[in-house]
Amino acid sequence: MTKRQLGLSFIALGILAIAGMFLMDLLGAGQFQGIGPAQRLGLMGAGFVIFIGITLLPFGDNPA
Amino acid sequence: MKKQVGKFASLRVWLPRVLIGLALLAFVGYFIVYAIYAWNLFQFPFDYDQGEGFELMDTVLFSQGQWPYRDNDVYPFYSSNYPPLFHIAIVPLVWLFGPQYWTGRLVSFLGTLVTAVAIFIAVKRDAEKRGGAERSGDKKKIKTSAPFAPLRLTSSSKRWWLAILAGLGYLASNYIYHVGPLFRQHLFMVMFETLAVVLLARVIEREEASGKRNNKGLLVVMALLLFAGYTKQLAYATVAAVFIFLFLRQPKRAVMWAVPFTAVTGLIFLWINVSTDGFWFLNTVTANVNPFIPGQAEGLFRQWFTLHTIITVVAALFAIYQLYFERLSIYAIWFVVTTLNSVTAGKWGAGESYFATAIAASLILTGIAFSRLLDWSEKRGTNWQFVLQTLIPLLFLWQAGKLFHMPTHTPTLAAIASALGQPTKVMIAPQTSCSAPRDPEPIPYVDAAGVSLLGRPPNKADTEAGIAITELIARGESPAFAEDAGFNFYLGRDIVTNPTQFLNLYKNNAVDLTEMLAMLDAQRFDTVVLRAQFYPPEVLNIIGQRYETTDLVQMNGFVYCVMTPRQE
Repeated sequence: MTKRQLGLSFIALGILAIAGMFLMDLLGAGQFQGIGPAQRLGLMGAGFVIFIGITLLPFGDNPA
Repeated sequence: MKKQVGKFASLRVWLPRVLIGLALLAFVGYFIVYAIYAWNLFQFPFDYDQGEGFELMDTVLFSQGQWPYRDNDVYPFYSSNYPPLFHIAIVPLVWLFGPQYWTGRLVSFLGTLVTAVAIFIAVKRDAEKRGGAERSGDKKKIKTSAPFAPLRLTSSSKRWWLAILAGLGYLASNYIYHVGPLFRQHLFMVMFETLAVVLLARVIEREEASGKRNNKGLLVVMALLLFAGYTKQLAYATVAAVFIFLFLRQPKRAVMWAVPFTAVTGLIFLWINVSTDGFWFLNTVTANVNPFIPGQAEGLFRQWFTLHTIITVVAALFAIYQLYFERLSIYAIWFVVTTLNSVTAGKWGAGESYFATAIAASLILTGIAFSRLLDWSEKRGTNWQFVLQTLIPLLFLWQAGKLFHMPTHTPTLAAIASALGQPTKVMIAPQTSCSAPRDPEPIPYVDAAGVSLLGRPPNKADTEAGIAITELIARGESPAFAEDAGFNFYLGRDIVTNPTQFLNLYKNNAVDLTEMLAMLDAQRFDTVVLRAQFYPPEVLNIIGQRYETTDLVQMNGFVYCVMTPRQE
């Protein structure tokens, strides 16, 4: 696996995590209206993972 | 002028040596303290940490060919929530010496020594590997220009002190010190995890060097991971780290190995579950679904970082470096995954030991990072060498200071603590859940982790207190309904209940209290012994109605309430 592929995996994981959190809201899970504290933490974590993924993209075909 | 130059040259030689010597002295000192604590614990015949006796009970049941995963609804209301391997490893000692606390404490202690040696080997081997690559002139293995890139290395094979500091660093952690010599399975799991990861690094490194696959080596890694998982469930994080690493290096092979590994793990799980009529699943899975307490997780993360700042920061920086400028090593992935997984320390019933795996990983990464920096400095010249050879032992000394913990129960230890500018006693109020609060009293144990009831070596008074409780129980004829197993073990009576396990099941609506409540209501137990009141409210209510406190005995900083049936 290359650094770029690893970066893309991170981005995909982050997007999936965000989508999953909003899906939970749609399914009615959670105790809070809107974005709850756990969701806020989760969103920040997912955003961080996406950020790391983006920063890995310029490293191209170097092995991960 | 020549004299000044000579003096400076001499300083450049001796200062690093003195600092390395001091760092080694500090960490050897921690090891001696650890050995003192362990030796005292080996001689203590009762529970030091609540839960030890139940692990001994699991071992006793295995030694009799029985499973400890049982029906909690019926007398003796006992079951275990832990996988079997640690207890099975102790069975031969129980066969030979009977149900003694020292058996499991010794095995756990030895497990921590094995882990420390594995950390030593990992750091030492990395330096030797790069030294070997340089000597053989293998340019593929040697990237230059970046500080962490392996460079000319003539002294790395002599850099034993760095590997020793990393290995001893594990035993010097407050958390490892607290839990290492206890009859608890957690650090035995960490031993298997560390062995698996260190061996995996070796197997992959050799495969990549020779171009030949070493499936036998990988099979041993899988076996060690399986052992870790069947010692304690928390090993799943290391399993995840190993497969992430394999996937990055060899995706197809990772999947090929993941399938049989999952199958074997699942088949063993099914076999135990069928053999125990489903009580394995109930007691190891259902009972472990505990509430998450964010404040507990945050507090433990803060404490872990405050105590282990240097090794954590260095490991994190090295992992980031590898993420961008090198191939990610198994150690970097292991460190990140297990650190993130340490958040599970916030579960009710979890604690500081959940950081042990992350600590082992951070020490390996720190050792390797420092070793590479020293390699780099050799290329840059004597000034850089001097700076790093001075800075690295200073950082270890700083880390040693942050980890400070020391029992001060002997004049020598008290004098050493005092000479180091530390207090020789800490005032702690005895813990009680069933009596009036007591005034703080001096405890001969100092710990940078804060007020801790773990770490103080148990003494003669504690043993006498334990015996006093057994004498009170011995006035009756039945086993005691006790929160610690040690008293019934001492008298050779049945072990009744595993309170925390029972409470976990109760919280998950997975236990029927009818028979237990009926027995307590009928005063079928001549004695009840409470320490922390880890029983469901209904059980505590009926105890309050049918029993009264007759004696209060203090042991290990806890007040034990000894209760006998109320006279109608």
